[in-house]
Amino acid sequence: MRLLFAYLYCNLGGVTSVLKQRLPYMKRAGWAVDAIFEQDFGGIDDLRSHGVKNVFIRRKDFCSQVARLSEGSDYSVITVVDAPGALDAINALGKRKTIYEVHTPLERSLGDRNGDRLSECTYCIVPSDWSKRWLSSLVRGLSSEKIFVLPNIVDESVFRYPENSIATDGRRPIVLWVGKLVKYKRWKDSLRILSEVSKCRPIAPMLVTGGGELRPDMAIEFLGELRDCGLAGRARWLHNASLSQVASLYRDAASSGGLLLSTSEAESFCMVIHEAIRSGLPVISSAVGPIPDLLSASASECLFALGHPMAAVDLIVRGLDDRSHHERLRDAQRSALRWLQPDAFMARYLALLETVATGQERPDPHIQAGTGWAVA
Amino acid sequence: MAFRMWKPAQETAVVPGRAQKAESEPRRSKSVDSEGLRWSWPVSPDGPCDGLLVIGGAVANGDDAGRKAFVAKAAVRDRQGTPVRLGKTDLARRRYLAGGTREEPQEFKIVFPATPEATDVTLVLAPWVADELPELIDGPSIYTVKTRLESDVIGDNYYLVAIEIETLAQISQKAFICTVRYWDATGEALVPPYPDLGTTKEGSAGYVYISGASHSGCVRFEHLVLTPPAAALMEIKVARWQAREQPICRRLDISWIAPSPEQQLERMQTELAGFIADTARDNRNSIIVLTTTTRPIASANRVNRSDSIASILAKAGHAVIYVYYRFNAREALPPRRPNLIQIPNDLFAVLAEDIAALDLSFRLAIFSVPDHRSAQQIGLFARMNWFTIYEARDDWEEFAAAGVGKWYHPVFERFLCEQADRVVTVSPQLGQKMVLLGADEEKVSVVPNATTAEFVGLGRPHREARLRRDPGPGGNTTIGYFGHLTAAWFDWDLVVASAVRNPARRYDLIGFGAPRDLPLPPNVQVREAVPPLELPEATAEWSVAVIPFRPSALAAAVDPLKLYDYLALGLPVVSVEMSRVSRYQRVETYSRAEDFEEAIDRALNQPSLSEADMAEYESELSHVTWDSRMTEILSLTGRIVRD
Repeated sequence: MRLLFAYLYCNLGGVTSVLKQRLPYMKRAGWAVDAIFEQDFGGIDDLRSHGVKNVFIRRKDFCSQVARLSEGSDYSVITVVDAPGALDAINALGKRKTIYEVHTPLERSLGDRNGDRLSECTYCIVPSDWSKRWLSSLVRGLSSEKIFVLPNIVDESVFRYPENSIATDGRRPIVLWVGKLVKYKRWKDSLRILSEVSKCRPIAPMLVTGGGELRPDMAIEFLGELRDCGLAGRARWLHNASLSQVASLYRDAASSGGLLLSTSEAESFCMVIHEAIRSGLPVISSAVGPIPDLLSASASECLFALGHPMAAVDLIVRGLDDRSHHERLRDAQRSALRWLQPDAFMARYLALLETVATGQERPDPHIQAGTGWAVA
Repeated sequence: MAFRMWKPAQETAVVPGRAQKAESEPRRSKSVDSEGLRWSWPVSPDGPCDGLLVIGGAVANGDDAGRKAFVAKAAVRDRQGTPVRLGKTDLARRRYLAGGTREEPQEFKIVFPATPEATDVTLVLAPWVADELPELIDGPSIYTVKTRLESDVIGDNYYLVAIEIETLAQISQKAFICTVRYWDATGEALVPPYPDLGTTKEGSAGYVYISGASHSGCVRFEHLVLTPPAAALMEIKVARWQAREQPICRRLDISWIAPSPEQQLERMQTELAGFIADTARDNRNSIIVLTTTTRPIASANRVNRSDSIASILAKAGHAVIYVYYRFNAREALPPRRPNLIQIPNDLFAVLAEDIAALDLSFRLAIFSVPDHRSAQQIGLFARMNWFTIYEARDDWEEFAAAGVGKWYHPVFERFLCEQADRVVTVSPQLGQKMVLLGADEEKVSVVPNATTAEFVGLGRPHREARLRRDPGPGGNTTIGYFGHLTAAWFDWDLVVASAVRNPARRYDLIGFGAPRDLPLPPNVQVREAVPPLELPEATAEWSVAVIPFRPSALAAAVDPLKLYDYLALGLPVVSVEMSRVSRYQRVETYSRAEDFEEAIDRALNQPSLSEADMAEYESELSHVTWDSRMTEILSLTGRIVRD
């Protein structure tokens, strides 16, 4: 069976990474996957090496090109991610074997709140219960039976718990921020927070930005802010680091007694947090999207309200100063992820794909009208 | 080529356009009958079987009294003499000609599909209403053209589709469309959409519109296509947009340009893997990355700091990765050199992480391009514990202000200054600027430019002769310069004015980038750049060498490479005040234009050197070679590595 995956950005992380994590399971189940993107940010080879058969980049008329490709080829399932225009173009063809995935919990991922668009899909997939609630509340007329929760998969062979405990060699703890330089990630907040922390504690701030090729104007804005925050000489900056590089950074940060800072104002899953926790790096995060659900056990010690950077500073300083607190945070957050079993979720995903492709009775008991997949 | 030489029968040549008419006048039969002037061409059995048949010419009305009208009619017959249909219903194609004069003949072209059934083609030129026969000024000629081309291709490569289409005055529609199809090696059609092309509504082909101004009666068009990965055969077809008439293609080509960026990356990865394997095999323990704004190292007549340092490092046994600047991802990749691999900046951006992960005992990354990519890469190399140097070899801010190096922004340079382990500059002025930009004063070092030991060796006989020679009576005086001649910093006004005032002196300027159509006095000669190692001979007649740069912040920060070459040749030097040129022996400086000639006079009158002075000169020279500079740069890392 063949699946076409349509998304806007072909890069090394984010949604592209979600696809990559699913590919081994899909391949084993006999699925051949093509992918079409509007823009390439250096992810084509990476996707091909992970098993995507054809990678198409269509800068012009992306939406209609998706429709044409889906019409001209014999795809069993077409998956569209965060691209309502492309879904409209496919819907106009009368196709029914579509899955719409929402990974960016911003209204632009829905185009407008018209439920017809999503109702025409066979199913919608979101990565968290919170996202399902968000989607249901925003889109009028969209049946919750159609929305399935499929958590993203973190590659545990890459993001693994560090073998070494926290080093006591006197090196500065690494405080890490990982994300795209887009407004909703609140990267400027992260610089201010790191700046404040570095004024009172000797830290090694590290900023890892992603999202493909960085335009010079964005680099200028980022470096200008970095300098204004007094971090240009102290912070390290990596752009478009590979997953293995990021994983090694998480482990280094963990063993330095450091922390991950997340400042985002919109998350549907927050892959970065999952990766960090699996790598033994405790997280201090804004309380947005599904993150409070995920980190409820340690909420008061790691969550801050959006727009309150000084609260984040306090939480980081406490995490850096108190070794036992740091370890408690790490262990509590790690236990919070125990329910995430990639094999089980992928089995359900494959069953869903088969249901969509064949139009037959749902072979998996978890795929039943009105239930979706419960996350916890 | 789109033109196909059709040889109708044995006696008839083909005339592919007016230019070739004199050489290949078609041998046709001509007669006059009741209808008008008639020509006929027999068609050989292997005659035109595809494309279009074009019959053309130009007529006048026979006298200048008035413009009369005529009709040109073309028809085709088969072996049995039966008219062959040229369209659904046409047995002939006609063109109404509104007359013409000898001065302005009326051109005509009749076009119809070439058919294998045709054995005989006829053209009749007949009067319209009036009795006079037209006078044929040009032609008639007959030829075939293609509107369709098939070509073997390789998947995932760039090809250039080049098309030239005649814009006939008789057809107002000047827009065309080129459709493209691909097949794989088994003959199976590849399904669009194709990269770089639109897709027809039915999804059966890719297409691209052709339009634009007509030049010399032609619309010229080039379009770069990236073939789909499985493509083995490509077909292009040209048609008029929203018009029935077939286009007349003077040119229809598909030519290979370059592998796709993905293929280039693959090739570069293979090359890099081979380079690393060779490095390990040869037990080399040091690797040095240099990122530069320059072109690949080649045998061009230009040398610069980056390629000189890279070459010296490679020669000394270090594994060198030389990152050059390219503006077009379709440029061919340069070959590997001993101990040196050259990677274009766009591919380096992708490979940087793999390179930074290389595990050798000495790793040095020298960034000399203060752009957004270097700003992104320096953290990567620092993270992997490479020693990092930011090398300021020019005042890029001033260059950017002068319109060169538009990628520059001070924020990048500041960041590099703050992030690098050491900052190297070519002049003290630049060093001070880097400190102002944020570099710690202790980590800034001045490592000036230099020349090669080879050049110093080649220059020795010239140097010795010049240094031992006392100033003469001033007979044949030649003032020389080699290097970039751009008006942006070469002071043409100063040099030309000096030449005008001193007609007895010759001004010999060797280089590139000189302004075109510059009025020069007869005693100023501009010569093409010559290979660096030929400069000693090319400058043998020079008396004084000059560096007449326009005084500016840009020039003030420069440490001109040519200074060291001049010194190696033993030439007295006259330079505008800059950097620290005056610290060297036999260098005269001026700061005002009016002092230029006085400085030349001083230089010309420099006495010969004593043996002791000669020894000092040679000693000084031994320190201005790239080998010496390389040692200085490596010592900044706290470790000198020599294999």
